[in-house]
Parts: sequence; C-alpha cells; structure tokens
Amino acid sequence: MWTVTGLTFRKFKEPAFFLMLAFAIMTGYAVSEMDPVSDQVAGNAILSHLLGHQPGSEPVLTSTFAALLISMLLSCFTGAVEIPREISSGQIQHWLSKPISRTSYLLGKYFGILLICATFFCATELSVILSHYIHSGTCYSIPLIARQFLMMTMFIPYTAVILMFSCCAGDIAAIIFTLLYILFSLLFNLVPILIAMLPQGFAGDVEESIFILYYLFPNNLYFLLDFPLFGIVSGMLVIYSFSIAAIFLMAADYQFRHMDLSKRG
Amino acid sequence: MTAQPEKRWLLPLFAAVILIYFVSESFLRQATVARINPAAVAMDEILAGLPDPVRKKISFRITLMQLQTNLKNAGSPGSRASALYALAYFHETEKTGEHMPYYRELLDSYRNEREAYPVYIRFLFEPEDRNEGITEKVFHEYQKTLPPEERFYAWTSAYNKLRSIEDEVSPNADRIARFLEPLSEIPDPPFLEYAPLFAELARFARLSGRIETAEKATVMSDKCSYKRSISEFLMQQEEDRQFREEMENRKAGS
Repeated sequence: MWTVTGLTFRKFKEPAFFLMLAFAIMTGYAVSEMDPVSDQVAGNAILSHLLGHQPGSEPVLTSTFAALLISMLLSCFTGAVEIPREISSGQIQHWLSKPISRTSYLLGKYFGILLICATFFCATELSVILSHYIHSGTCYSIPLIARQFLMMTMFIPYTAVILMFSCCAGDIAAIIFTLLYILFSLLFNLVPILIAMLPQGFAGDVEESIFILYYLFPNNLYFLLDFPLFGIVSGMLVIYSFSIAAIFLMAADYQFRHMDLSKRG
Repeated sequence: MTAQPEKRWLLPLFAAVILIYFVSESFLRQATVARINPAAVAMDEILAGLPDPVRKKISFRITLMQLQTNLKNAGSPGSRASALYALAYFHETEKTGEHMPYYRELLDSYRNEREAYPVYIRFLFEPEDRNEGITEKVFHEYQKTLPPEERFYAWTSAYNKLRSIEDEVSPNADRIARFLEPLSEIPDPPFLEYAPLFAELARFARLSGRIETAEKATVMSDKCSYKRSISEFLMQQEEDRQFREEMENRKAGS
C-alpha cells in the first residue's frame, strides 16, 4: 500500500506539478497579508457570529482559506485522473499482479493524493508565513500556525470524494462531478444552521427534506470555526472528517472491487 | 469462502461509520449554533440566508403561527374579530382553502363588531350562493353602527369594490347610485375625504335620473370640503389618548 502511495506522490517530479507548486507559492505570497476569515465576514450578521473570533482560540487566515482552495483544486485535477488513467493504460494490471489487494491499492492511492494535497497546502502556507515575516518583521505565533495547518483535515474527506468519483466515472467526468459536489456542498452549508437557529416548530416539515439532502454533503463551515486547538470541537472535527472519508472510501472500495479493470481503448 | 467473513463485518462497520458521522455532525452543528446570540440576529436575516422555496414555506409557517397566537390571545370580541379576519385573509391569499371556517365564525359570532367591517366588504356584491348573507341592504344597516373612521373606510372599500366589478367605461350608474344613496343619511359627514365620495354619488345619481339625490349629494360634497381630514382626526385622537394617559399617570403618581 505504501509503495502505491510513494509512487503516486512521485508524480510531483513531473514538470506540471512544479509549475502548480510555483503557482501555489506565488498565490501564498499574494494573499499573505489578508485579514482573518472572521474579519472578512464581519459585514454579514450571521456569518460574523458563526465565524467570528472567539476568545482563547486562533482565527483562520484568509490566506489559509485561499491555500486550501488552491490545494483542493489542484488535487482534484490530479487525483481524479489517477485511477482512470492507470486503468486505461493497463498499468493497474501490473499492480494487481503483485500481492496487493484492490483495497490496499485504493488506500495507497488515497494516501498518495492526500500527500499531494498536503504538500501543496504546506508549500502555500510556508510561503504565507515567510511573506508575513518579510513584510512585517514578526512571525505568526505557534498556536496560530498550528490552527492553519489543522485546516488540512478538510483534505481527508474531499480526497475520498475525489477517489470515489474517479472509481465511478472517467477522468474528466470525475473532475466535473467532484467540482459540482464541492459547489453543492457550499450551497448547503448554511441552510441547516439557519434552520437550527429558528424557534422550535417554525421549520416544520421543511426540516426533514432539507436534512436528507444536507447529510449527503460535508459542511465546510465547521472547518472554518474558531475553536481551541485541543478541545472537544477540534476532536469532533477530526472524527467528522474521518467518518466522511470512511464512507466514501468504502463506497469507492465497493465500486473498485466490482469494476472491470481491463485496459480500455 | 473468504468473501463471506469479509462481508459480515463490512455492513456493521459501515453502519458504525454512518452513526459516527451523524453524531459528530450533530455535535458540530450544535456547537456552531451555540456560538450565535439569537437576540443579535433578526429573523429576516435568518430567512434571507435560506433558499427561496424553503424561505417561503418557513415564512408561511411563521406568519400562520403568529396569527394563530394573536387569535388565541385576543380577549375582547373586537380583537377576536380582527384576529379571525386576519387569519381568514391569510389563508385566502395563500390559497390553502381553509379560509371559509374563519369567515363563517366571524359572521356567526362577531358580525356586529366594528372590526368586522372587512368581512362585509369581502362578501359584498358576491353571487347569492357565495355571499354568506351579506347583501347591500345588510351592509347599509351595518354601516350605521360604525364609528366615524371605520364608517368612512367601509364606504370607501365597498365603493372601490363595486367600481372594480363594474365596467370601467360604462358602469351601471343606477346600481352605483342606489348603493351609495344611504351616504346621504349620514347627518354630518365629519371628514374631508367624504367629498369625492359624495361627488361620485352626485354624478351617478344624475346619470340615473335621480336628480334630488344628486343635488343633495352635491351640497354634502361642498360641505365636506371644509371639514378636517381623517388623518388630522386620527392624530387628534392619538394626542387626546396620550393626554389622558399622562393625566392618569400624574394622578397615580401623586
């Protein structure tokens, strides 16, 4: 499994990846001096309450949010084509001729793509931290930096989503489905929270129908909340991320184990 | 053989993961909502963040609950009449089909209240099988019991409704004149706004050959031109009420 992970990660040596990495670093420099997300949403009454700065906790910087978006976008493009291309080129037959189960192969790919996401994110974040140091002469505090890197928990479920779509569809279709999925998840983020804010009984039967759809998508707002680094909320967030990843990986595993992996034209 | 043991633990594992997902999501949602001070966020802001179909459903429920609460809390017959009409009107505009029981209850129990005049307007000029007994004659008798401002509103609303169902270019002058004729029985119309109403009575009475009625209406119209407006009357009433309240507070204080 780790061999698959390593070989997936080695794609970073390709020139295209270096270009994407350079783009990520430059973007990190460009957004390094932006205010935290809590300040950016101050104009919106509800979002300012949800994402507002809490005493005793560290905020999420807008540059981190930008780094996250870029990393997810780049990993979407790279991760979505991994398995379909290996199937169409026949390389997957080479893997499965080794004593490696399909599940191990899938998990290897998952961790490989996760590593790619993390690398892009870390590179962008380091660029942000260095740029801030160069501009202001001061460095961000360790808790603040740690809070930014905690955002990487967002990659855990989304990498699983990318992998699941890539098992179900071809490379281009997987990219499209993943992007649409992320878009729909953003649309649904605020709705259940707004409904939860209504007095009891106001939502009525709307509540059931909305929640059926809502549970199909991860809520990105939870990752942007200000909370103490070591607490129940952060622990629950990690559990939440892993549970979503597990659901999608199990679905991907089921699909992958029943797929015809013969070379396609 | 190896597939069977694998399948056996896969389903419970999947169920456990789903359960963990729901529990963790519920916890995070509660933690998120707990951060918000409900008093600091207006209902409008919450509703504005919802998708349109969801917002309409929830707005409907909120309004319905508010109207039902108003009806439940209404003490006096007049306030009950107002609350019943508001509820009936809401159901009618929202096309729920549940408006008639409220209208009927209003007419059965509170038809003589001043606050009931909108329901008279609602059923006035309707066909016989749909007017719930509200005829022009019934309206004419009812409007005599109304205080000045409600009387004016009732007449204006009734006249506007009649004009809306009549042909715009060539209305039935006789019908309109016949309906407006009891206006002349008001001994001393108190408001400036009665002037155009009497002018309309004069016009249609003249068109339908009721010359005596037309002349009387013209005189009334001229008289009303020197009266105060209804808004001045209401402002005066409000000032009188505030003055009385202040006097009572002073008496209570001393």
